[in-house]
Amino acid sequence: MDPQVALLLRRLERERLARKQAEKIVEERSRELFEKNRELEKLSSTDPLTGLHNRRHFGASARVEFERVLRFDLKLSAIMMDIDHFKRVNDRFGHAMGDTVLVEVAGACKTGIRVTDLHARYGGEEFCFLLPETGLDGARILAERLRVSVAGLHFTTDSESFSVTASFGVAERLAGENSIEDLLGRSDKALYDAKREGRNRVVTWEAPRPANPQESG
Amino acid sequence: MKGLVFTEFIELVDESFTMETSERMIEMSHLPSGGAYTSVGTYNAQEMITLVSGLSTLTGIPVPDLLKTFGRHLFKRFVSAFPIFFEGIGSAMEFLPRVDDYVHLEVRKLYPDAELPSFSCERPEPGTLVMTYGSKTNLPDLAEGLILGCIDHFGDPVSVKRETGGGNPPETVFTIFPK
Repeated sequence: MDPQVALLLRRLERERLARKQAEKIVEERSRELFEKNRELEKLSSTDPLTGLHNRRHFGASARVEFERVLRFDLKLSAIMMDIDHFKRVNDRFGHAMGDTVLVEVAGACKTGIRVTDLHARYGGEEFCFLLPETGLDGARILAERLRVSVAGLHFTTDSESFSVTASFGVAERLAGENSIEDLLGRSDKALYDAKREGRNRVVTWEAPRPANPQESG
Repeated sequence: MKGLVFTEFIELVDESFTMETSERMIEMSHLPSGGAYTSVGTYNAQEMITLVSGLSTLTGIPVPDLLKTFGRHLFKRFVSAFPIFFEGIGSAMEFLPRVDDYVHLEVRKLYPDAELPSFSCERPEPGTLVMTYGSKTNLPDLAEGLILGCIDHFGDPVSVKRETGGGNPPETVFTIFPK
């Protein structure tokens, strides 16, 4: 064989082997990147303490869900929930126990909702759930189930044991309502009423009654 | 050692000598990798020492001279491949202290497995920079070539003095001072 040809063939063979190595390395890096991205996505969408979604992720998913139910004219309900007197838990048993309560309550709620429901730690001790294709009655029943689950949790310190309760505000999307914020706002109002009415209860949002002219007169 | 250093070296041998020289150098080196290098791979640095020794045998040029020439070439390639490291930098005296603190930090983000040399810097007096090179691979001639390549690139009116320090492998101290 011509020495120049043999030389070129050797060079080509080395370059072929190098290319194969490069392809393998790039493939491995791509896989690593994919997994890291997935991990980062999870971290950026999850509340690290409770494992529920964070408010930012909930907001984005809820808006998509809201658009879907609008398009197909489906039912949609929201539950706002707040642990009662949570500050007292922190003050009396310390923040570590407070965190335990948050984790256990979130766990009970996550078990109680359905896989299609959206969940989030909405604030310090406030949680939010969005229930696709669920009317007010279904949402109230689910909230009641969560209320019973939360009240059934028992916490123990070195010297005593205690339990917590939570209040729930429930609202359903009204016909013609075009904003997820309005739905969540009405759930929040119902939650406020649940707190005002004595806590450890589920209150559904009701439209304010028009003033009766006979009563006012 | 990153594959980029090997691919650049073989390209330089192709350009400065002939492709035949490169192939003969690889063949006589009996390398574990077979000389099939990809820029994104990582290879035993000993292969570089073997290749340069082989090239020295083929060309009659001393190993230190070959490594210094390669260092100068490599610096040029770094400038064109990683312009971000050179943005806003106006002189070698400004760039060289950033190698350890910034450049290598960024390189580690891209290649966590990279075995990088250290270039710790001191300024004993204004206008003078003392760089101490330490590396498991211990290629002070290559380091000198890179420093000279940096000075060529920025055109600083400075000279370089090289001394061997302590340690095992011994550190090399480069003093860069005004001409």
